[in-house]
Amino acid sequence: MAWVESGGPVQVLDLDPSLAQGVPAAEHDQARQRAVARGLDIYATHLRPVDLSATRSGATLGFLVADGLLLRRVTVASRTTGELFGPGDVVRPNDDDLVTYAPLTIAVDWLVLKPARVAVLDEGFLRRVARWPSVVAAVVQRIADRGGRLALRAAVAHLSRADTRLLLMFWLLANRWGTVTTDGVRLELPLTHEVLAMLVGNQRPTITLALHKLAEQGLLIRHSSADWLLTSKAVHTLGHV
Amino acid sequence: MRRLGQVALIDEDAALLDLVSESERSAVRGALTATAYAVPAGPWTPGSLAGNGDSHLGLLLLDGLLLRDVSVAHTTCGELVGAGELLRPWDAFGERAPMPIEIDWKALEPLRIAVLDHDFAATLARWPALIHAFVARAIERSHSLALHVAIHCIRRVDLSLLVLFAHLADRFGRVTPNGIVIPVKLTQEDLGKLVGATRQSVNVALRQLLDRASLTRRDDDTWLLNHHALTAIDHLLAPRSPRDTVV
Repeated sequence: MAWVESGGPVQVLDLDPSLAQGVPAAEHDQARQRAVARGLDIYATHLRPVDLSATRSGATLGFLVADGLLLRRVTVASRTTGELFGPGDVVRPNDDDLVTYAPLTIAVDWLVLKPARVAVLDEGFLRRVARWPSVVAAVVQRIADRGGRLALRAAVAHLSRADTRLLLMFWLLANRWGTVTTDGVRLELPLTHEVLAMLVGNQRPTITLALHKLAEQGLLIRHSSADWLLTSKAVHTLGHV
Repeated sequence: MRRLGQVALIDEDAALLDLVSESERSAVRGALTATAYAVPAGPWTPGSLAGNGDSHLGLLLLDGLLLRDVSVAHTTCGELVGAGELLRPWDAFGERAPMPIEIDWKALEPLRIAVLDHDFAATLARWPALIHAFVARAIERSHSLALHVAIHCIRRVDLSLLVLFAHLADRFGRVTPNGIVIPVKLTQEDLGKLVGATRQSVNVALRQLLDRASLTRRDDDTWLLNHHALTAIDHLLAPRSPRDTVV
């Protein structure tokens, strides 16, 4: 079985209606019909940029994640940090082939934490939506949002307490993919202690202790391996960090 | 901030020019123009350049160097933004956060900025290769930030500074027989924000790097990263104890 397979066409604006925010209401249906992209299903656990290279066609805007969860790992000075990508994010793993950090030895790789479906925003897609520049602007905005989150992540890495780092990290994740419930914000993400360590810049044992502490304080509850609850009390607590 | 008038983007940015065929250059030069502004060195509030429509692509930094600070929970992280990079300073990131998140901008040098507004975005749609280039720049900025996150996770301040300077050498440097000149004037406070350390720690670490001759501060306050530091960097960064590894 191939690790990356064609998944049929995707109606991009149905998949992600906020990309159509700037499209005039009268043109919405037309834009919806035109904004079709190829879908790809990714099953691999370790995604190699070369797996996607066959899909690189001309001026590719990127891959819009429809479903699933990807982790981009960056290792420098034997320290590995991670960045999560899920629904709504625009990624270009094949660009990592082109990046050099000489003279630094920096390793970048991608893991698939949950099988993913992506829409290929290629040159054909660009031509079809050319009438609506707001769609392209929205894609650029998604990438700029990523920059905003990363800058905040770097600040989080300097908080002295691992439990505070985790709370802020979970707030960032909840803000993107959480579902608000009466008890707080629920997150269905398969995050191991190892992945969390990469996300906040701590060692794994420190994360394990901090998670225990947060659970005891009723701030972050793990119901199962992929089911988290950032409680309302936690959101209140964040207002005082 | 002062309005400078219209500029032809491909004349301002050689990398964009290379993407346009000879036969199309004249058409692109005439059509793809943007309003440019001059910003003096010092604190900057980009609010007045905010896009008033969803089609606004962002601001392109034509010249100069900008420091963007993000502060949360009493810690501050800095990001350097250089010529050719794309910004969207009006995106309200963190506006709904339960904790205060502050974003400050400081022009380290006088800037020239082009506003890529709705009309620009609509025109750009005729040249997919140029759209690709702008998206690639936004992605590159994210990659640079992801590296910054990793730099912030290095425990030893002298090593995180060394990695930072190597990264700046890669982005802005000019190779000379003695090493790579990094033509960027950064105070110890700026460096502290870029590696996530106090000014005092940066002071001590800088002295170590200067003593080892890994780094030289030049008379004009720019930096020289010496060749031997670059060749030894992998050895210096090798883990010395299990605590040096995150997971």
